[in-house]
Amino acid sequence: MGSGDHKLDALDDGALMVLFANGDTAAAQVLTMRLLPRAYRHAARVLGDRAEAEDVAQEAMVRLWRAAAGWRSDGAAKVTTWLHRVVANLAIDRLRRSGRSVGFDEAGDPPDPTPGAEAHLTQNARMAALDAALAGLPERQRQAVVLRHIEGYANPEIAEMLGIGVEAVESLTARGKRALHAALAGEKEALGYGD
Amino acid sequence: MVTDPKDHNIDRLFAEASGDQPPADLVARVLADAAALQPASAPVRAAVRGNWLRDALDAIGGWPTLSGVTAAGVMGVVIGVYGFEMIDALANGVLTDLGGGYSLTPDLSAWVWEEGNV
Repeated sequence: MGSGDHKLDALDDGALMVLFANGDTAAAQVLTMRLLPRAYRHAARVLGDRAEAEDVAQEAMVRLWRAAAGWRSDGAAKVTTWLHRVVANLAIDRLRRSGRSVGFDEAGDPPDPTPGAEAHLTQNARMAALDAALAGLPERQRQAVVLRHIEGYANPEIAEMLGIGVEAVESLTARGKRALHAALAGEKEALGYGD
Repeated sequence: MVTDPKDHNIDRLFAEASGDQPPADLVARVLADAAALQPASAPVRAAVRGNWLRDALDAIGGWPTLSGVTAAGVMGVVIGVYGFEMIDALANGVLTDLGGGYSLTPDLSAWVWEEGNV
């Protein structure tokens, strides 16, 4: 990117949305580089399917571009909050349509994340193991764990993204992490973290 | 705060997941969507609005022509207000010289004289 884009890097997402709406093509590039990885990771970890995650991330970004014309840079809404809310809803729709959704009361034992007897997994396999463990969590718990522990958002932000209270987020992330730990227990060697 | 050693592996797994990047073809598709959905830029719209003026100027020879027309118009107004003699005096007789003496209008006296002799 050119020197002009370095100036754009210093702007917040809301200001870039306004620039995009005014025809600034560099703003589209900066927003894509900044937001698409977050949307994609969120979808990938919640859906456990890269092709579906790509579709959801692309659709969420299309909605973002369409929302730019009416975006107010001085408004209260944060672009990341808005985008993750869209990703969460699109992902839940897909999970429910495909019958892969796990409700709060339906969560059973997570599937065995160990792919065979290999002592050392590749990075992709480790991600597959994580996805398999996440797939055993109820969908809200899964979303909260991904947004808190992988994307690093604060609980109040996650509460806004998922449309629930902050205390509920705290509960979901704590229970989710405990469940993941149980699912991945004993996989220290298999996950390749031998130290 | 002491970290539970049991969480160590899962935290490393989270950290690894946080570096996961979208594939290049997805980035390309998203940028293509952005290009297709982006409103036309403000500078382009301004240029389109300005085209009628440029076309009109081109038709009469561009900005140099317009400056010549403007200068002639201004000079006409000034002469009308202050009178030819005053302007010519202030310009040290330049206007008279340009006209080859006081002959900005045709001198018909010779015609009258000739007709009188016929």
